Parts: sequence; structure tokens; C-alpha cells
Amino acid sequence: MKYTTSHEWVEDESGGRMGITAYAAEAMGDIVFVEFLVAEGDRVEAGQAIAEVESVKSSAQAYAPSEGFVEELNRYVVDDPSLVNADAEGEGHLLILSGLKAEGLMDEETYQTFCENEG
Amino acid sequence: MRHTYLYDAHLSLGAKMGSFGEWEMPLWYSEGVSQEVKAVREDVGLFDVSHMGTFSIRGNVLGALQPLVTNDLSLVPIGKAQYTLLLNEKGGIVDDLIAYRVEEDLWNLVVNAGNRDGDWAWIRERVGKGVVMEDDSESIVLVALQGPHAAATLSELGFSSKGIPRFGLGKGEILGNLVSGARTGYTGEDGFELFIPLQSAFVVWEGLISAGARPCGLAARDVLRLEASFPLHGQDISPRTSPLETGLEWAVKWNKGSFVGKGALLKEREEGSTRERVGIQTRIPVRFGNEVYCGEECVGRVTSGLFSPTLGHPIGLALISRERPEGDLVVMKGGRPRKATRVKLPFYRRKG
Repeated sequence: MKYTTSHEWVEDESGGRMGITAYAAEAMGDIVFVEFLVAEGDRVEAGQAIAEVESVKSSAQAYAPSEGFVEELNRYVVDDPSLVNADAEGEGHLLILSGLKAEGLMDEETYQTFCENEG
Repeated sequence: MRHTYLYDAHLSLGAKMGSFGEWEMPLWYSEGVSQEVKAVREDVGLFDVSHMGTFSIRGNVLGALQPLVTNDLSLVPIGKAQYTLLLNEKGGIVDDLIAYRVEEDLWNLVVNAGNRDGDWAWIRERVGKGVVMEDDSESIVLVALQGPHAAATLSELGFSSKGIPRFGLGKGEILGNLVSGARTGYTGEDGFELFIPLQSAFVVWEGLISAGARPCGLAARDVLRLEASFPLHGQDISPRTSPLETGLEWAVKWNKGSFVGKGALLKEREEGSTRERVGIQTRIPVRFGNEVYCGEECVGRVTSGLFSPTLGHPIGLALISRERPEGDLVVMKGGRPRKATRVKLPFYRRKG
């Protein structure tokens, strides 16, 4: 699992499941909406907003970690956004990306240190 | 960061802490904000609001305070409270507060946390020598017990609230500790704000939770007050907004004599306000600061916005120009237009 400084995770720097981190989900509180800003098959650019995640009190966007393609959207989180709170880095993933060319993402330990320093 | 007296109690309850101005406060506890909102709407919830300022003022309070506030303190009998506003000369809202008449010549003022120091100085400079003011904020712990079962919870612990009307004051014992209670709140439900001496605060807090009150954080408080359409100072109202354009004219008594800001308000009333507060509903929550458009024209901003767990959809308040093109309101959020429907206020009103 790899992590970004904007609190997303992705399975691998080349692609896979992607979502917001458990740390981000916990900071947001009860998540009540997920809206996709891309469609399956879309090509995305690095840093492009791909989903909007809303809790009762705050808003966040998830960004593509590099250029790539949208393989699959996780519609379960649209129907039940609380999945993101319950299992942000598993069943509560947002989508599956392919063909990523991400570089220099953080590993879990580095990301944890990053979060501690940010808080 | 500043901590309230109950800080350790919040940590031991597993609160998610966050900053509110210079205060580190509980945002929510383990069950999350939606469950806390539900508890207050259907049962009973407990809030630490001791970051707010509590001032006592003794002497010729009517003479000293009437010229500073918009509402008419002379209408308040002993044992009752009143919502009122401090204005600047331009008619802008310095703060909103509740004034409690404890005795003939003794009043308590409860002011917003972020304005504690500012209000203290503002009032002190203007009240003259006829009164003695004390800042009790550090010696009194203020908690809010809110919800349809608040009165029953109090009576279970020995405090009978039977004779206390809405906005009334009473005294009693909770588990043997003397506390003052006022039938006020900021949630749109029945409830009480309890003034507890420091040494009893922890026991009372724990006792109320043991009796079934669910601890609630500032996130739930914000949701509940917005559902009930109560303004938040610093967002919906501020020194740059007047009571007339933000739906608070009911707290302005024109016939009580002069008060700071009255001249500006009279002028605004005569010429008409240029802006108005409106309630909006959107599909996706919009947030404080988002711009509101009417056609091509930016007509104002969202002043509060969140998802209402009680209503099951996003709600918001916006301050927008009265003179604007015809047509639907659109909120720009993250570069995307979001259609906003105007709705009547309050968003939520309790039954009965």
C-alpha cells in the first residue's frame, strides 16, 4: 500500500484500488456522500480531482496520484458512504485505477510519521 | 491550545478532539456526530460549553447595559433570561449573548468563546462606574443538557425543573451538589444550561452521563443549531453584518431608547437592507465561504452549510443581495456549480 501527502492510498504505484486513508476518514467523521467526478474508462491526469467525499461537517476531494485510467468505480460507497468510515483502506475504497506512473509515494510507516507531524 | 476543566473527562470518553478558535474541544465521541444529533432530538445529550464566557455584573445593571444591547433588558423579570446583541456604531454585530437576571441588580452574561476577551473589554469600557463586573468563566463550568428527556434526567438526579419555564432560571442539587440551571440552549430542543461550581463539575458531568445523557461534541452542536436556524457568530453574523439582514430584528427593540448602533439600524430600516439571509437546500453539502450565484452574478456567500442527519439532506444559510437577477441560486463549490433550492426557516422545529 502506498500513500500520498493529500491522504489518499493506492494499492501499488502502477494501479489498483484507491481511496482516502483511514486517517483522513477518521478526521472527517461521519461520511454521508461520495460523488465521482470521473467515469469508468476515463483517462485522468496527475492531480485531477476524481471523487468528492463529504462528511456531516467537512468536504474533501480525492486526487489521482498520477496519470492513468479509471478501471472501476466502487458504487457500494455511493449507496452506503459509511463504508468509507468503517473500512477506508479496504471495502471502502473509492475506485480502481490502472496504468498509473506514480513515483515516490510513501510507505505505511513514512505516512504514519507524516500524519503525526501534520497533526 | 486552551483546555476546559473537563478536558480529561473528554479524553477518557474517547473524544475526537479538534480546535475551535483557541480552544481544543471534543468534536464528537465514539459513536459519531449523527448518533449524537439523534440523541438530542429524541432522548438527551450533554455538551461541555465551558469555553464560553460567563460574566457577572452587579449594581445599576439596567442603566449600564441597556445602552449597549439591542433587546430590552427592562422586560426581564428576576429569574428570567433574554437573548440580545451587542452592536458597533455601524450596526454590525459585535456578539450575541444571553443575559440572565439572577437578582434585582445581579445579572449573568454568557458570551461566545471566541469573543470572551473582546466582549469583556467592549462592555467594561462602556458601562461606567455604576456596576461591578466579574469574569466567572474560570470558576464556573457551563454544560448544556439538551433533549426531550433533559428534565427527566435532572429530576432523576434530584434537581426538579418543574417550575422553570423556557428561558427561566432555577437552583437545585444534582447528586448533592448545588447548581444553577437555566432552561436555555442552542439546539432547538427543550433543555438546560447548568452553571456548576468548579469543584462539583466532574461529579455532575459523570452523574448526568450515568443517568443516560449521551456526551455530544461541537460538531453535533453545530448541526443542531443550524437545523434550528440559530446563527453562529463569526459565520452567519459578524461585526460586518447587521441584525436586520440576518433575521434577528426580533431581538431589536426600537422603543427602548438609544443603544449603540441604533442610528445605523434606523437608517438601514428606512433605506432597506441590501442583503438578506436565506435558507438553502442542496444535493451535496455546501460549506462556509462558498460563493452563491444568480445567473452570471455572484450575489453572496454561504455562511453555514452541513449535512442534516435529522432531515436527511444538506442544509445551509447564505447571505445574498436583495437586488439580484431572477432565477435559481447556484453555489460554486470546488469549481462546480451546485443548484440550491430556497427553503423556509427554520429547517427544523420541534413538535409540541
